Amino acid sequence: MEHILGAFMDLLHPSVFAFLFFGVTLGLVVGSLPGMNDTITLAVLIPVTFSMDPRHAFALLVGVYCSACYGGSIPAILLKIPGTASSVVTTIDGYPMAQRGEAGQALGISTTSSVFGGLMSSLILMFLAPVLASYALKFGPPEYFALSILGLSTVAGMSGNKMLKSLIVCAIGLMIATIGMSPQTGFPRFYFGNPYLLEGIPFVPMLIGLFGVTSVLEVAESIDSDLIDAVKDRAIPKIQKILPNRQMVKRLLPTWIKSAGIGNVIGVIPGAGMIMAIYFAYDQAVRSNKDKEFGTGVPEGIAAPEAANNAVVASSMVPLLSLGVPGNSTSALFLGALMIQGLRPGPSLFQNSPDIAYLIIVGFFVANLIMGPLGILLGKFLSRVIFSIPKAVLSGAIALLCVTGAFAVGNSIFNIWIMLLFGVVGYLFNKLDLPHAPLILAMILGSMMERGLYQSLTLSKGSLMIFFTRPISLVMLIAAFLFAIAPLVKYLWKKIHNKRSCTIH
Amino acid sequence: MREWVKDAILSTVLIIISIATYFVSKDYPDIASHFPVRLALVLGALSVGLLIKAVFITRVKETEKIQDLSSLKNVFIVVFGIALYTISLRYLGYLISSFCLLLFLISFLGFTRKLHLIITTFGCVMVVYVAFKMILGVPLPLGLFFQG
Repeated sequence: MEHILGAFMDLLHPSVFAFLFFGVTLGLVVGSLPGMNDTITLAVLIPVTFSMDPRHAFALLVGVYCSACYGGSIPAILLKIPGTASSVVTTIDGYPMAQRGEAGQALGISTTSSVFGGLMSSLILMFLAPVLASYALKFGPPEYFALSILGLSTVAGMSGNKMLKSLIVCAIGLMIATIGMSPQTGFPRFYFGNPYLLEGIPFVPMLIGLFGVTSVLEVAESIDSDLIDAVKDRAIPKIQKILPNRQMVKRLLPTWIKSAGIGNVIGVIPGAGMIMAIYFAYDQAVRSNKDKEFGTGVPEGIAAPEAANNAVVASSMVPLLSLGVPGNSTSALFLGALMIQGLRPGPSLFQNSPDIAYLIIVGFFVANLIMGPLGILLGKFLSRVIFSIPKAVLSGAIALLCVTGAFAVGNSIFNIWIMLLFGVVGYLFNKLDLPHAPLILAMILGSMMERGLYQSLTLSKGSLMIFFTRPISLVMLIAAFLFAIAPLVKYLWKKIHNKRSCTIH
Repeated sequence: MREWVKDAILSTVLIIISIATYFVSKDYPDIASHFPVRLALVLGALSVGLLIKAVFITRVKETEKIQDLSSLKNVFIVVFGIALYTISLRYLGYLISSFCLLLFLISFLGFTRKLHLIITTFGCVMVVYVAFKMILGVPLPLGLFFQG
C-alpha cells in the first residue's frame, strides 16, 4: 500500500504529471488518425525516452498507450473509420447513432465506457497482478486453440439471420490469414513471388481500406452535386449533451462490468489480443440484450467494445510486470522501454525498483481519469468541425488520410495497394450483404488457431484428446459449442412454439 | 440485379476460389498444406450451400428488389484515381500526388466552387503533411523531383 501511495505522490509531481498529460493528449490525437496507433507512437517515442528520467519516460508512455485505444473511437463514431484496430466494433453502433443526430451521446458513451473499463482494469492490476499472472501461465497451445475457437464462435451470436454468409466470410478471413509464412514450418504460402506478402496481409491498411475507402466509394456511388455542395442545407447536429445521464449510466453499468471483466480476463493472456476481447464483449452484449437491434445505434453496442478495449490496456501489463512476458505487441514495447532504462521486468522489478513498477500501475489509473474530460473536449471539437464540412471535402480528406495512414504503417507503397484492394472488397461486401466483422476476427485468430492446433498435436503425438483432457481448454470448447448452437436452438424452439400455437388455435 | 442472382454469382466465384486454393495448397509441404486445404473444402461446402439457398429459397421468396448498377461507373473512376495516385507517388512525391488526388476527388464528388476548391485542397494536404511528416516523423515519399 505504501508503494501505491508513493506512486500517487510521484505522479502528482508537476513534471511527471505534465508528461502523463502530454502522453494522454498525444495518444488521443494519434489514436484518432487512421493508420496511426499506440504501437507506432510508442515505437517512435521509446528511443527518445532513453535520455529521460524513468518517471517521466513511463508517465509519457503510459499516457499514450492508455488513450490511443480510446482515441480511435472518435473517427469510428463520426466517420465510420476506426482510428485504431481496437475501435472496429465501435463503428457498428457508434456511426449509426451519430447519423441519427446523437453524435454527442455516442461520444459520451464511448468516453465513459473507456474510462470505466480502464479504471476497473487499473484497480485489478494494482491489487491482483500476481494472481492473474499465475492464471495466464496455465495457457498452453491447446488453450490458445480453444480460445480461438471460442472467439470464432461469437460469429454465430453476431450474425443474426445471416449465419451462412457470416460463416463464409469467416472462412474467407481464415484463408486470408494463411497468406505468408506457415507458423510451423516457415514455408511461404500464397505469396505469389511478392516479398511484401511473406508476413501476411498487413492488418491496419486492410482495416483502413475496409472502412475508410469503402465509405469514400459509397459517397462516389451516390454523387449528387446539389446535395453535396449545399452546406447550409445540411443539418448540423447540435452536440449538447455528451455525458450520459443517470438513467443511461444505470442502463449501461451491467454492460460495463461484464465487458471490462472480459477485457481483463482476455487481456492478461499473452498473445490473445485486444480484438478478441472486444468481439467477445460485443457478442455478450448482444446476447444479454436480445430485445435490442444491434447495428442501428444501440448504446450497449458502443459501451461493450470500448469498456473491453480499455480494460485490455492495463491488464496486458500484468504478465509483463509480474512475469516479464509481454501480453501483446504494445506491452512488448514497454519491455524495451524498461530495458533501455536498465530495468528488468518480472518479479525482480517489484523488489528492485518498486517505485517504477507502481508508477506504471498507478499511472494507468490516473491516465484514465485525465482521458475522460480530454476525450470529451476533443470529441466535441472534432464533431463540430466534421459536421460543418461539405461531404465532398470530407470524403476527399478521408481518402487522403487513409492513403497517408496506410503508407505510414510500414512506410510502404504496397500497403496503399492493400488498402485500395480491401476498400473495393469492403464495398463489394456491402453490396452483397456480407458482414465485415467475421472477416476481421477470423484474420486475427487464424494464425493463433493454426499454431495452437499443430503445436498441440505435436505435444500429444497426433491425439485430439489433448483438447478435452485439459480443463481450461475443455471449458472453452464447451462454451464455444454452446455459443455456436444457441441461435439454431433458438430458431428451432421458436418454430416448435409457433407450430404448437397454430395447432391450439 | 436481383438478390438471388447476386448470391448465385458470389457463390460461384467462391467455389472457383475454393477449388483454386485447394489445388495450389495441395502441393505445399505436409504441415503447411493442412490448414489451407481444409479451409478450401469448408469454403467450398459453404459456397455450395449458398448457391442452393440462392436458387431454391431466395429466388422463390424474393419480391421485386432490383439494384441499379449505373452508379458503379463513379466507383470505378474513384478506384482508378486512387490507383493512379499510388503509382505516381514514387515519381511525383507525396505533396504533388496528394494535391492532385484531393483536387480530383473533391471536384469529382461535387464540390464546385473553384477558388475554395484550391484553397481547401492545399490546406488539407498541408495539414496532413505536417501531422504525419513533421510531428509523427513518417518519411513520406519525396518523388524523383525532390530527391537529393
